[in-house]
Amino acid sequence: MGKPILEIKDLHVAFKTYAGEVQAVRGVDLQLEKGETLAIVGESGSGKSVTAQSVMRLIPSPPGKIKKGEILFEGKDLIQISDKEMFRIRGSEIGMIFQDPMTSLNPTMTVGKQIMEGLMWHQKLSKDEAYQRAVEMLRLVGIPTPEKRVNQFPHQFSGGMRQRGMIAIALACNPKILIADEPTTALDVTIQAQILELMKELQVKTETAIILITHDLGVVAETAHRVAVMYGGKVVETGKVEDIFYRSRHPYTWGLLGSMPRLDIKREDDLSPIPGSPPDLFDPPKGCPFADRCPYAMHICHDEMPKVTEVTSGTHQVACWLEDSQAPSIESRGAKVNIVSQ
Amino acid sequence: MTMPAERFESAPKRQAAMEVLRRPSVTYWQDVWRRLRKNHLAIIGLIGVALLIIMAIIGPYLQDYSYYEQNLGTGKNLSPSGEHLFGTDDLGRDVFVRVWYGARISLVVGFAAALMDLLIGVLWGGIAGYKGGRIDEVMMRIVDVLWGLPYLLIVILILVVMDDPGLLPILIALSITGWLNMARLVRGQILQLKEQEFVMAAQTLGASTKRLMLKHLIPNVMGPIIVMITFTVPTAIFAEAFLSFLGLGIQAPFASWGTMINDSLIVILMDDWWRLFFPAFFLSMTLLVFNFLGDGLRDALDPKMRK
Amino acid sequence: MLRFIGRRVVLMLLSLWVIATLTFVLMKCIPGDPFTSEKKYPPQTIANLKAEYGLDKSIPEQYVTYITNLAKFDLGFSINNTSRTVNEMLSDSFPVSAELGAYSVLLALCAGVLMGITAALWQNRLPDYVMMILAVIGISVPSFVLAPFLQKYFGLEWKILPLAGWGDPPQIILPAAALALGQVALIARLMRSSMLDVVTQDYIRTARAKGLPPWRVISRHTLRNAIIPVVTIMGPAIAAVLTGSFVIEKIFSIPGMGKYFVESITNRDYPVIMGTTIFYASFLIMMNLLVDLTYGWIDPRIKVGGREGR
Repeated sequence: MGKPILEIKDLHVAFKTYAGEVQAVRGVDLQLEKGETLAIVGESGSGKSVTAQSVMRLIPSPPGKIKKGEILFEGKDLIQISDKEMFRIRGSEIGMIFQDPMTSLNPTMTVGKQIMEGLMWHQKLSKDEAYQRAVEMLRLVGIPTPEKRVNQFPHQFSGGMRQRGMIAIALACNPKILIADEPTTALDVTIQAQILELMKELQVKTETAIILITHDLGVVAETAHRVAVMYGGKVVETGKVEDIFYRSRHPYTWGLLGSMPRLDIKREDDLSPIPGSPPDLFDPPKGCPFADRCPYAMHICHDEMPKVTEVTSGTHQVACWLEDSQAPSIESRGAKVNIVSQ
Repeated sequence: MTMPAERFESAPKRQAAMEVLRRPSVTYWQDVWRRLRKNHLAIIGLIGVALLIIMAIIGPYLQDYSYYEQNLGTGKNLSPSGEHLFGTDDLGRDVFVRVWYGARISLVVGFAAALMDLLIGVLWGGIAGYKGGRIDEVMMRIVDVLWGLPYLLIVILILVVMDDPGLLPILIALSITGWLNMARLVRGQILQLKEQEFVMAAQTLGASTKRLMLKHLIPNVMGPIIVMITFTVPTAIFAEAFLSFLGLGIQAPFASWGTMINDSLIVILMDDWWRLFFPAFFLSMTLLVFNFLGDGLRDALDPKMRK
Repeated sequence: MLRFIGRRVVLMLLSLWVIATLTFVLMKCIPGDPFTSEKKYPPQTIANLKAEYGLDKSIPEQYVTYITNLAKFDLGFSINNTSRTVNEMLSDSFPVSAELGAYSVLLALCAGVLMGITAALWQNRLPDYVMMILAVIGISVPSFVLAPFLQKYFGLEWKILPLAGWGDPPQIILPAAALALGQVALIARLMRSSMLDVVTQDYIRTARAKGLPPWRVISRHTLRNAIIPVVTIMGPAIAAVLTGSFVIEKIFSIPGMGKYFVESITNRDYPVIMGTTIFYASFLIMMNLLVDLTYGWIDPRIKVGGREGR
């Protein structure tokens, strides 16, 4: 493992609302290696999108505010640099695609122009050069007859094609990092598979590192190299995709895996949803955010945030009191862990 | 690092505490009122409208003159004083009494227009939206065609033909044309609501048309209807003043703000500023307070703002 | 797009027909006929006059003649001033009103859009409050209330601008301002809310994610989309300026259509009233069509219909 291309350290983000301050992200640490795909998984409200938007400094402000932390990209702290420097990095060094391709493209501008814009701004290409590049990009993302499509408006594209267009916009300037915020959630299942396939293909071609935000573990299994599981504004477990799927250590990850539909489990122990609802981030718990829903919760879980334990040095980490040497083993309490046994 | 062993004992889930809602629940109308109350301009509007209504009722009795009583001798063009709070006009009539008499006319016109909006507009739009299909098509075509015609022009045409200036012809002319906006709004809202699950659910459960209308559709379009009405009132008040100004509306000796402004246009050449100022000021203030109230209600009722 | 235009044209012709029929019916509702109200003519003269103007024929025949004449843009004659046709009066006064109206609409559009943008960019800060208070006042003060005060201060007290009249360029300023004020306010409010709405759209986030600086996001993405609703109210805005011109032309003694229209109302010169009404209505309906076409041109979702991608 080399030096990470992006490193998030102790990130805190809060949103002001009339009812108080929502602590959306509460101390997130993440690393992204060159050319890898890191999936950030969690349910809605876990802080995964906010983390991603913080990297781009696209948190709507007000009400949002980055309270604390560092986001190091090639040694520069993206939180500290000037707006001007950030404008240079956005789009050219780090690209982003969003969840809903139906609303993420400007309806009054041709798709081609929307691709050309970034090129002309960052790389100072002439109009003709940018146009040629836009056609190339559309061809690269697999849009048929790109010469014709480049002059069309978003409403003339189907949902899947719009997302391809979004990817073309995001990758136009050859960014080193691509942040994909739920890129397939709004799409049909068959289109989802195509878009994921495309992203994998393009990653091999362009060596772009990808941060993939999703709540869909199926998507993770298909595309990611590493996974970070977020809950209640914190990262509870990170590891290689095999670590998370086969050797996960956090009860929330087990819960996530248990609530995923699968073909290979017996009917009677079908889906097991996680009971309860996520913590109220207006007034976040001082202990582990999952303690209230955790079947293995201990007194200490409610009172103190667990430290990060290295399960496999450098790759697999988990924040859970069960890792503590004083904690009883789960098996001794007769817990059902068959959901993680393969 | 070791910790007391009991801290690692299994702890009961705190599920029960979590299911309790942390913020008190409020009904829609309580929520609307809470937001309206916080809006200073809306409250100014509300107080202004209330004051206007009170003054329109009691204003003409506060001074011992009538709106038509002339004093052609010494009482002409008197500036405001204790005797005549707003002065007198070129025929010696008391401007204070005439202004509040004008307020009555404006308010009658405004509220009559609002009533027509409710009676014709809501019914027309409601039927078109609820019935749908052919009936909707025909009803809305009629609205579309009338919509293409300039409102004040039609009103003028009707007034010219009636050839009998006064309050009633104005009310009739305004009623014939004023409900189009409302019909369009209500139809759109009903169409949208009809598609929503809770209405379908009620239908599936066998709710009667009457129940569907009264319990599900009308309460849900109430908000937009109220907002529309608060804007109908100033529009009608403006229209009456405009027509009276043109000489098509209320005629002397009756006092309408529009007539009074028209009568006193000449004073810009003289120093009798009060004759123009008071009717102009109260007309503008009336439109202003209704607009404040309407804006406030719209913001308070807009579900998009609800967080 | 063709379908869109076609639909609009059909609707427009329908509206025109409705207003023509309406004026005809209303004209027939007026008690008596144009010649009974005026001086006492001998019965033979009246009969001759009626024959000359086709008033002796049956109502349906008159209706056909009337519609045919309208189709030939013949609006009839004035009773009070028999030497002039309505067409002649309109051709004299329309350019005057059109000039005044065009300046007012232009002023309303420019000032309104600028004010709306300013308010939106400084949302909930001082410029926003100032703009929106000005706008609410603008909506609440009728032009015929504002106009005399403008005359008094700018014309009489400070003597900056001419009091009234027509022909000199400075004479257009006060009436145009009085006419535009209400529309400035409406457009400013609409532009503001439209901008605030567009700013929260996903495609603006996409534009920002491209690394475009704020001014470029605003000029290339926000404005174009925010101005679409403003275009849609230009029809009503033009109509309001037009009806406003009745009183403004009267107050400022401008020899435009509005002034003649008001005079014809006072004199009960029915053919002129009817003719002018039809002219106004056709003009507005035409303007609405123009606005719709502009709308289609600005919003490509209408211009290039259909989804080929599916």
